Amino acid sequence: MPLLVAIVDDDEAVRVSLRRLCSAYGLTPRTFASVRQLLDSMEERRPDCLILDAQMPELGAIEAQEQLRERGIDIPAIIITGRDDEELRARSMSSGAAAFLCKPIDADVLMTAIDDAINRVPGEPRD
Amino acid sequence: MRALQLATAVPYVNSPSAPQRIARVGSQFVLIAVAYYLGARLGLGLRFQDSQMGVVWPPNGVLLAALLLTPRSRWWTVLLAGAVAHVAAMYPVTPAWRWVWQIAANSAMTVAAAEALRRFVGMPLRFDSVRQVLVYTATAFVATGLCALMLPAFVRSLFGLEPGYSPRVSLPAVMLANTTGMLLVTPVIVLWAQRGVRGLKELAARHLLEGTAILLSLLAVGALAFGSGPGVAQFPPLLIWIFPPLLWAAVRLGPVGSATALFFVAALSALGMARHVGPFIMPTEAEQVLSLQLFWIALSLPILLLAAVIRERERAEDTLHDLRHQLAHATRVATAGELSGAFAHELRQPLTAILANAQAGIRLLTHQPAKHHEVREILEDIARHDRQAAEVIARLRSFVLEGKSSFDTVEVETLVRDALTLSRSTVELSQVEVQAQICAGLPPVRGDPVQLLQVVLNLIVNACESMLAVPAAERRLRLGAAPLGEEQVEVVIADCGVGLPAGHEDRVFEPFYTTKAKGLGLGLAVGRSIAAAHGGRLWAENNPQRGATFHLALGAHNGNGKHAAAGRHRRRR
Repeated sequence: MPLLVAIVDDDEAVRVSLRRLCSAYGLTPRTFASVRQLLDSMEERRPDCLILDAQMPELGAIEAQEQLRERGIDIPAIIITGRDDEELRARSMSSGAAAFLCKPIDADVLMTAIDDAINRVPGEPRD
Repeated sequence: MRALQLATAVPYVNSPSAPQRIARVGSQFVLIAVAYYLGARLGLGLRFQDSQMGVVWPPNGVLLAALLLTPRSRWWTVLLAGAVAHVAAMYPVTPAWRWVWQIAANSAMTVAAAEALRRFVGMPLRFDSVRQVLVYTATAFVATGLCALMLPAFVRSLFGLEPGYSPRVSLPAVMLANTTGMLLVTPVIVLWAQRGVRGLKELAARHLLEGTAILLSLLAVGALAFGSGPGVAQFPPLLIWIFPPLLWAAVRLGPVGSATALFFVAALSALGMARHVGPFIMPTEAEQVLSLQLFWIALSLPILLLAAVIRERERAEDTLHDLRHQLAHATRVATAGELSGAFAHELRQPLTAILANAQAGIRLLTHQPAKHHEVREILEDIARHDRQAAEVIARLRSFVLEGKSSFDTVEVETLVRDALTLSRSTVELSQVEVQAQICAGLPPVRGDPVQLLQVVLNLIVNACESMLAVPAAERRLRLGAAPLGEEQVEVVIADCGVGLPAGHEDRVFEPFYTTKAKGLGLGLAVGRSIAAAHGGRLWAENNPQRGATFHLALGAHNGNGKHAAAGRHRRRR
């Protein structure tokens, strides 16, 4: 069964393009315009990996991970951002993100990050 | 050797040929000689019968003007032309020894005056500063005074060889005849020669109209004041009516208009005296000559000075406008620098979409069967996102580029929306909620769209930065635009930030006042300056609860072309 990847970004162009990229690489993408929409969809099939935009109008990636953790949901998350900021990177990794990628994102880099995130052994420390 | 060969191989472009140079010098020679001759005939015509004393000696004014307009290396042609014309005008009435003496004295005087003006005033002589007018007048008096001491009329009268008048009478008369020639003739020739024929064609129609109206007014008043019999002409208030058109010329048409109007008045008054009418008919010839000369001098100096003062003020305003424009540009660049992170973020979105789409498309082409339809959609999206990225760059570029300041009709709603577009990334990154309330049917304002955008954008960016210390959920920015009274439109930017220093709210508009770690502290100072230049106002106050509100009031531009209290600046020509 193809891996289900949830893409959460308030920018439609980014959502559509990443959905196409993931589909082209054999993944099953689902896109959400906000963390709220993602949380509402968790009742159905849970995604295997999350791709979260760092800064969105209501909840950003870091806040989204906190919300999921409160619900007892542990899904590896890759945080993407248009702001190459060391402070944001540090906070993202501290929050438990599997990877922190700056836009624009190369396909190989993204697929490698998804692969690493999904195959990470639970409890194994992240880089 | 190679450099020498190159130097000789390439001829200097645009240098006139020898025949062209000869033709040019020849035509200048003829022009100067003709003008000198006509001036001499006029001067002799305004001389009293059996007297060497004339009201004005225009030829020296012509000679000085020619020297000022000619390179020093060709002064010999000017002096030669003057000498030839002088002989032609004086022969055979005046004996040869006299006109040789006169030529020598006049040449020495005009050369000395031209040299002094080049040294102390500098070329070109435009009579557009107080210093130029005063130095020119002083030079004219000194040069003509010294020349009068050398001329045969005075020197011979010292030895009683000039029948009819004494040195006490001849010296001031001769001196002032030359002085008036320099004050009335030289400026008009120099200024119009510098303007040239092309300048005349480029003259705005309204200037031509005003000039014609001024000359017609002078003609009407002059005919009455200078052309009436003693009973009417010596009515003192008549001469006062000369002043309104002269003042009009000085204020509206500058040094050229003033010099031309003065020359016209001098011609009318001289004509009147030649016909023995007007207010300058006195019991003795000396009194007539002196009264007219003093009238001309008393008239020309204040009028030329007024035109120069007004020109100086206009130049200062032009310089201030240019400096304000450059400062606004510099602060725009600084603002763009502060927004660079936000612009980079805004650019990265379409670039992310382009890269992801392109790589997805490449991958799809390897699928069997190839999904051409999807690839086509992808390529169309790539093109669209590329244009989107170009728009972001174009917006930034049009904001940052200096450009020429131009006043246009500006819709306030468009202004606010453009500012929000430019600051969108900053607003999003600051997690600020924006509430825009723009009244419908707002009258437009008249102003420089880029500068007004700069002011509003700076206020929005400042508001976002002032709210960074506030919890994200409480960051609200209210933008409003509404009429203010009947003649103004007000843009309001209210935040929930840290507010302004209590009791010193106006301090934020002082240059170099800033609370940011990295800031020039000029944004608000420049913003207030821009508002003032638009006839508006920028002020701020603390909100009752939290934060501050900035108000930008601008004059509304109603439909019939009038704008209430809008600043306007037209570059003078």
